Amino acid sequence: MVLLQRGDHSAFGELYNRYSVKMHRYFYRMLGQDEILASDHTQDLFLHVLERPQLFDAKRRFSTWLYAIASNRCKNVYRAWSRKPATLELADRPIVAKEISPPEKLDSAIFNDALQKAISTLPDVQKECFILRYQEELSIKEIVEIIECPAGTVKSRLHYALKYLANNLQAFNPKPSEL
Amino acid sequence: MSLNKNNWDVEKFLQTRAFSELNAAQQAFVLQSISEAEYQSQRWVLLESKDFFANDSIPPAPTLEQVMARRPGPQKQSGFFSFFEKVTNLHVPVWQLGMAIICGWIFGQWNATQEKSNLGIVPQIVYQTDTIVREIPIYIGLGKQAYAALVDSQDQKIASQNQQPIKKKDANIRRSTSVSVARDRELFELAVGMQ
Repeated sequence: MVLLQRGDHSAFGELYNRYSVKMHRYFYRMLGQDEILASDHTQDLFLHVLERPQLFDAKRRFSTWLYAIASNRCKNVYRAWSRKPATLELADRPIVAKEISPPEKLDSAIFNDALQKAISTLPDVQKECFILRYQEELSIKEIVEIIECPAGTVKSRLHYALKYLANNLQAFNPKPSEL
Repeated sequence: MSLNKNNWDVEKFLQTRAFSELNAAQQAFVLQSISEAEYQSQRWVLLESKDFFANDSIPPAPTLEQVMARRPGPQKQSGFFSFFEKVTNLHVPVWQLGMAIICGWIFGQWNATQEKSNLGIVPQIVYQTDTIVREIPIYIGLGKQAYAALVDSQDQKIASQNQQPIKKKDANIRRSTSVSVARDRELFELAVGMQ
């Protein structure tokens, strides 16, 4: 990133190779599994990095800075969505059926669909923490830097997210003894 | 999620151990926040979610070429359009722009009525007995007193006369007879000296 700030645009390719998949995955999950939207935001995010490298503070970690920008972009999308009359709720979006034949795979697919829907319907702030923590596998400290909230708030959001998901997916829950 | 003096964290326990794998102190710590059943169900959801995230197929990210193709190229516009775009990109409030135009117009009107410093000279040779003299009519700006003088060959004043304030039509004539700046200043100083 420092090289990019000095005007070496060839460094951009390296940054893109390192982080594009993560950012695309993050956008995909945060924006309701919408592939086109995720792709658009991933491209815009990296163009932003390329066009304005001077905005990066070298004291920060690049990945957390990138996630912070991505997080803000998602918030903007949520704001835009909230202004529009909802024609199709996220949770009601059709999830493309996958080719599954054996019963055990069918169970798994049904559960995954239910889990995906449940994650989509999490409150935005909880979903953000949940995905950063369990999909992106970031530490609490990194999440604190990204969303600029105290660690206690992050943990609290994670707790409520887990509680919400556990309640919504209760029907799939095996007996506690099986864990 | 609570944290105690041992730096225990329920969320960390959820990720790493089943309730039965916790020791008594840890179980007691967890039970301060949530019940055992809640712990079990949250741990189950957490592990299932991580498993789902690890195995769910995400569509491929756009390629670097796609990103670079999206990059806006330098837009080259020439002449008036380029200038117009620059001006319109200044984002000046309309009322400020309007005030600036009005002020500019008022200044232009005022300036048009002002006369530039235009000391003029139409030297004439006048024969008076045996002395050669020059007549130097000097005008000092529109609306100011005009001054005329007769000087001899040594530039000594023989006679002088103040005239009426200069009128606009005369000012137009004087423009055509204006002299160089250096000569203008020289004559002005001479006129002032004679006064």
